[in-house]
Amino acid sequence: MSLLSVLRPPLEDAEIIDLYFARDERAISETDKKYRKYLLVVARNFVSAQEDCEECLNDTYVGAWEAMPPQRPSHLKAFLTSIIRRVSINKYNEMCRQKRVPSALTNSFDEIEMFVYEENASDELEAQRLGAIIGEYIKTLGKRQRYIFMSRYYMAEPIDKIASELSVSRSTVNKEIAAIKEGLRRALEREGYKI
Amino acid sequence: MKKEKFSEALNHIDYSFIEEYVEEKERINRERQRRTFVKRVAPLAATFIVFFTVIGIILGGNTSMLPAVPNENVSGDTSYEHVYVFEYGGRKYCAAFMNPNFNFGKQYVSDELGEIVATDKNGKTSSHKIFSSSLDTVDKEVFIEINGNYYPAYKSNKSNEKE
Repeated sequence: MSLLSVLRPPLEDAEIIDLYFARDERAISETDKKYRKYLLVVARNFVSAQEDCEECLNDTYVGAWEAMPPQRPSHLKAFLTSIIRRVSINKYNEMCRQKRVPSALTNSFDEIEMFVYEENASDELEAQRLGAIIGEYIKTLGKRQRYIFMSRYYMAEPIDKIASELSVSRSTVNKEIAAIKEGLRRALEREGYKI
Repeated sequence: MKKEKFSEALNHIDYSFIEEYVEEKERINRERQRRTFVKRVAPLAATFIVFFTVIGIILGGNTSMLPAVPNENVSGDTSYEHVYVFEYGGRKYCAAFMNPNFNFGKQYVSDELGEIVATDKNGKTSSHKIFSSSLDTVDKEVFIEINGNYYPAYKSNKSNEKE
């Protein structure tokens, strides 16, 4: 990488997406230049080892390369977030099967384990249905609770980090999480899930 | 496996939630960076301001705080009703105003006669109170307060006062 390309500010998202559509390999390097740091932080929530994070990052770039085209995301960062989450969770599941070191995700998932019964979410269709119910529930949350829900359960972020980001105490976040869980439990029960 | 199913379900939530989350996170991070910057820079800035103010007072005898009322404009402008002259830092200044909010009368419970607003050479305005040594006599001493100090002033006939 030349010095000039390092000093040059990163491209706009739309320009990077255009590179993907033009099948120009600079799309990967530009994505890496702009989002590498952020994506590694996301991956670290799910898998702790640096080499695993790097592997997830590379798989994310491959995923983005394969998805664009045909997809043209309206928000590249969110798009990459969803890819790296999926990739990292797959990696996490693989690690669990191999009984390797767990991550922050373990704690975050332990909290919601009680909600999901295998017979309710046994296939892709069921996961979609459950996803839709959770989505409807998220819509009913306030802005802060929505942020906490996404941070904790979508991104598996530690409670301390969420508290620090929102400039509130850890116990405040815990209270909000308890309220969110209770609301989610009621929402799932209404839809016929036995909790 | 149960956890995996919940995680899988979250993959199907509306994409707009992810967008909203990412944007909110960016906003929070920007705000935190700004707060951190202010927290680090504010004490430094305050130290610099205090330092240079002290240096300015020591070296310049506080002349940078002078209210520089333009004498030239005052002397030729008959629209001013009241012009006071006072000396400050060895120079003579005019404080001119059209509609002073004071009255030389016994009804005053304090010796504060009014206030002038002066503009310094940098365009910065400052207000200065006018006091009299006597409440009931027009011709007694009048003082203008500048930065906590009182400087004697006398009433001008607004025609020939020049710096």
